[in-house]
Amino acid sequence: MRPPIIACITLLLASAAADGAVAVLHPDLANQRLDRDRVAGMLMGRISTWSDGTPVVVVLMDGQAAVADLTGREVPRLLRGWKRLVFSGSATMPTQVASIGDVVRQCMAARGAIAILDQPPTDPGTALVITLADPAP
Amino acid sequence: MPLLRMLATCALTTMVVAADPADIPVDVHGFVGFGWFRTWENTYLVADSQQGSTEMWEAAVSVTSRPMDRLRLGVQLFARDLGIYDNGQPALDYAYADWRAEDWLGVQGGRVRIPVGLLQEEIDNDTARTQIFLPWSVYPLRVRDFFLAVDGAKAYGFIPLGGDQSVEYTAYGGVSTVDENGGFAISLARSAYGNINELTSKRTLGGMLHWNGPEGLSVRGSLWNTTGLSVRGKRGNVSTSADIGQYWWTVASLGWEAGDVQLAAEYSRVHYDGTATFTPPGIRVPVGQNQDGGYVSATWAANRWLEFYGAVEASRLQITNEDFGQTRALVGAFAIRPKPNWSLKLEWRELRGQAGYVTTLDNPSGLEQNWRMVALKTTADF
Repeated sequence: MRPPIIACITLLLASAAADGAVAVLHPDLANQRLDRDRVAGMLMGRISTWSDGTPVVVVLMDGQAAVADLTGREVPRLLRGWKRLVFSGSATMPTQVASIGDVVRQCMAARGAIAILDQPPTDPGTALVITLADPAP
Repeated sequence: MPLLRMLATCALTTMVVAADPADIPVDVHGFVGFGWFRTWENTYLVADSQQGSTEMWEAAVSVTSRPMDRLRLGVQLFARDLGIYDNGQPALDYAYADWRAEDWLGVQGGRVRIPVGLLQEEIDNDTARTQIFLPWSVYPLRVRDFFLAVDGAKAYGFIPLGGDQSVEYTAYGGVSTVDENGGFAISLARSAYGNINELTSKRTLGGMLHWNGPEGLSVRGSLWNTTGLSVRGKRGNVSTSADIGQYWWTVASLGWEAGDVQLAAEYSRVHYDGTATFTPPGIRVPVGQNQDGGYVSATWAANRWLEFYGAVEASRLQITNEDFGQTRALVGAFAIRPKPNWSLKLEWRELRGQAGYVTTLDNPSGLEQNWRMVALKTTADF
């Protein structure tokens, strides 16, 4: 059994913050460029592929303030934007889950998966966990 | 539609040969909405609108798949009934193959939906908004099918500019998907042309440029042009025809979002001109229309399950250089969402003017200047 791999890599655009959005990713995405603007673009359906062509699979869990902080929208309103995209042929619907355990399972299983949480999961399994720094003042 | 047949064949072949079918992810989603509406003072959309009508429903099923990196396939079937328009005729909303080369460049071919204004892409899908109807002064309620999609291709992209700012664009070209049994044809039939037996257009080109600015501000410009619209019909023993050289629709849009509040303002201009012929007696007359329309709206999400919407709409119609008047509307709506995928809505419209909406065909005893409409609707999506 593969030992759990916990990669806590803080990407610094300017100064590191003690708290910030946490990205949970599929393990194959370790070399992907990730910053707040890019993550926001993924969460809003504007960016649909990773740099190597892997489809972005957005995993959404309600109640995460970090999602609202990145996009300006809470998850229910964000999902209405996704419905506009899906029913006009512009996107594939995100995966919606109810628990942090489900977030981790989806991110481990779905190639290209990314989820945003307020706090790192206590048991990330083989998923990557990356803290997104707050934007520079 | 040989292009679509070829595309559908390619899509199916790709999915079959790609791998074990169990490995190809397929997403199925859809929505169903039912409603009731009533008008006062004027009859609109259906003969019994002043008694109340349930001829208001729509349904769609959408299937998408991403069989390989960068490639997405999608197809959506849609049907609606809105008074005498469409009457549940199923239609192919879109069927496409999409290749996303980079964030700044994707291409989509087949029957592709096209963006005009802020809201055209959600014209059928009220799950994405608070109110039931899009602003009538800008978006086509009865003749949606003419402006919905093209059989052709589009290029699109997203370009981040840094600091929360970005630009999005779409450019498209093809042939408009006009249907001899759709709302546009019905509207033409009721205007002068009788039973429509031919409805074609040569080419549609257009584009959209959208700037996402700071602090929730957005600005969009849209342009749509159809060339060579041709109508052939029969009214009794009279053969009717119309040939429209150029048909233009432009929209300028402004949006602002801050927390639970969204503001939007749009201005639209429609212009076309051409020639109509009626035989016998073999007369040719110029046809043309200029329509200016706009609205200002505000949406407030009071909480997760309750939203309010208000708007002021105005439009002005000119047919063959003759002024047909103005219409103004005050619109209020609210939506209750007992579940994230289920909504209950009420919309009320207080209108002054009839230009572009009600006609003496539906109101033979005359038109009232002041009239109103109430609509109730429930929609669920999956």
